[in-house]
Amino acid sequence: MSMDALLVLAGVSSMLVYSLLNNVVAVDFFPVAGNFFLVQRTYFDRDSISMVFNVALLSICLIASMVEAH
Amino acid sequence: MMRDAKLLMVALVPFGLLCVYRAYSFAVTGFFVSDEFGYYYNAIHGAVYGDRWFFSYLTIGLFRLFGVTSLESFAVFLPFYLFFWGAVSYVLLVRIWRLMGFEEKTMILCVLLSFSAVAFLVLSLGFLTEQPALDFGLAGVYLLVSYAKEPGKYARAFFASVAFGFAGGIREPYFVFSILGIGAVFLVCLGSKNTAKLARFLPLLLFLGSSVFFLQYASPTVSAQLGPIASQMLGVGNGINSDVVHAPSPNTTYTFIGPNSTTTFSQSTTINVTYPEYQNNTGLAYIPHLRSALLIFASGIMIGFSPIAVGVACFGLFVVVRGLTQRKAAKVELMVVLMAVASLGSYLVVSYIFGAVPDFLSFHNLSSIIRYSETSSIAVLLFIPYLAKRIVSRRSNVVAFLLILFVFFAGTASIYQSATISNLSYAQNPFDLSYRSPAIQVRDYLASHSGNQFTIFGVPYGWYFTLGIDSLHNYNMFYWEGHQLVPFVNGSAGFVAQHWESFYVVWSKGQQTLPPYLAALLTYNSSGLPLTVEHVDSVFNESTFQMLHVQVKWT
Repeated sequence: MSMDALLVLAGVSSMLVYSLLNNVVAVDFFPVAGNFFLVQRTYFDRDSISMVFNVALLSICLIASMVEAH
Repeated sequence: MMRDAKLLMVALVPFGLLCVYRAYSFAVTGFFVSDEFGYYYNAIHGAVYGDRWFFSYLTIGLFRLFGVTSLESFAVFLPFYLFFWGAVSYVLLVRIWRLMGFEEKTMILCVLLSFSAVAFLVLSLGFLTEQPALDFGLAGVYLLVSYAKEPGKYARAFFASVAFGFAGGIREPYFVFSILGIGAVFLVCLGSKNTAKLARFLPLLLFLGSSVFFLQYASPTVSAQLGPIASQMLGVGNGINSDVVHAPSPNTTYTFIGPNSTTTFSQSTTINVTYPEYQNNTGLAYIPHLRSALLIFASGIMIGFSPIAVGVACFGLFVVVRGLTQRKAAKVELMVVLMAVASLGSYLVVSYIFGAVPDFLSFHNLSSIIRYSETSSIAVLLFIPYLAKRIVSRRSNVVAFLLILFVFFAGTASIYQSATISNLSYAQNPFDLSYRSPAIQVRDYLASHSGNQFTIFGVPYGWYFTLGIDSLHNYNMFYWEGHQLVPFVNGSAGFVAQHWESFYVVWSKGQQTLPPYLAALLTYNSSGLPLTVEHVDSVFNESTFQMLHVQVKWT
């Protein structure tokens, strides 16, 4: 597997994991005084269609990148 | 990198000196712009500034990494911080120009010309969002131009989108690159010789997926600013489809909340916006505020980058577009044009937003106009090498060009100095090392009377962004209305309760209004308070601020 493919897989996976955490599990990350990254439970207020679209698109990107990497 | 060492020296040695000058000037004169304090304050307190999540995370991280916990440590950090982002700009620019096929001599002239791009140079010397955003924007452009040259390297398209996403998380207009970049990558994919569909369109899919990811997290910006603009331009939404739009009542006041931590700090500016009524029509001529937006756009580019740099860039644009129409240009040139369109488009969007503010195009707002034009610097910097290449072909041309550049700036330096601070109401030139901010003057006064105890009513401009105030222990400071950083004296009753017999009143002329009872005291009028004013002596009476010593006797 080339370095390009590895980097892309790592990047897309990170985005997907963040989106799943943020949109599905509903946690958000805030840098606040005293704690750089404080994980808080939050109520997501984003449009559900755009969330589903975002997660679906990143999943397709991940699968396509894996296929191409092989 | 080594082969560019000489070239980078030409750029970085003078730029490094300017960074040192800026840091020294900050320490000595106390000159800064309020946005710099806002970003500093947020970074120190771990707060995020609006939608600028990436800039906030970045500065918080850097402050913690380098132990910036006070203004003193910030002053040491500042020149290195400024130099880092400026150096990254020049490294990326040189790499982009190399990809475009330019030689060292041409690039040296371009570097010299970049010093004439006022928006690029001035903004790179401030603790602001402009320079980091420009660097991530340039990184995205470099990756896309490089991808256009070698379409097989699809990771570059993906990381270009990531770079634009980060740039958008620093300054919102850069999201235009994320949107227009989709079209640019699509065009490269179409021209790709790869016959396998997945391999051919994977870069587009990755760019799209990454852009949507970042745009979703920028949703407040995109939906609040770009959405209505797109709707207006398309003639849909926002009531434009109705026959006559009855706008909100005239002189509606909007309050924009600036840096805002969860606990103490907020900053606000009030802009009066008068909405005209406009008929429902379609077509560019009927887009509201289009004329003022285009004027802001044109004047911002012309002043922000100097007529010389703009003229040189226009020649480059002409050469590239002619090459494209005659089908002589390569994919690299096509990508350069598309990136320039994104760069100019991002500034056009900003111009459009401010086109709605009546009389925004005025001398007072020139500094803002220059500042906002910064996103278009990518377009200017991409096109300047084409004429520079012709100029360096003859030594006499180079000498003549440099002479013109020198004469132009010798003649317009003072005009540019005034223009870049037009909204700050400075009577003196704050770029001069002899300038002293009100806070510096008051600080030095207190330090020179270290045996006395001072009660100061009012906050000199820039007090909490002035070196050395932490070591002063001979004063107590109060303000006459709610203030984030000093205690608040509530009205005349609160003033009476303090029972001060000797105190100092400080205020910025034209910027702050004294409460009526206090203004009366300064004219020996007790205005019904149980006191007699005995002395009002002037300590400072500058064109921008005043400090008076007041002595009263309570009855």
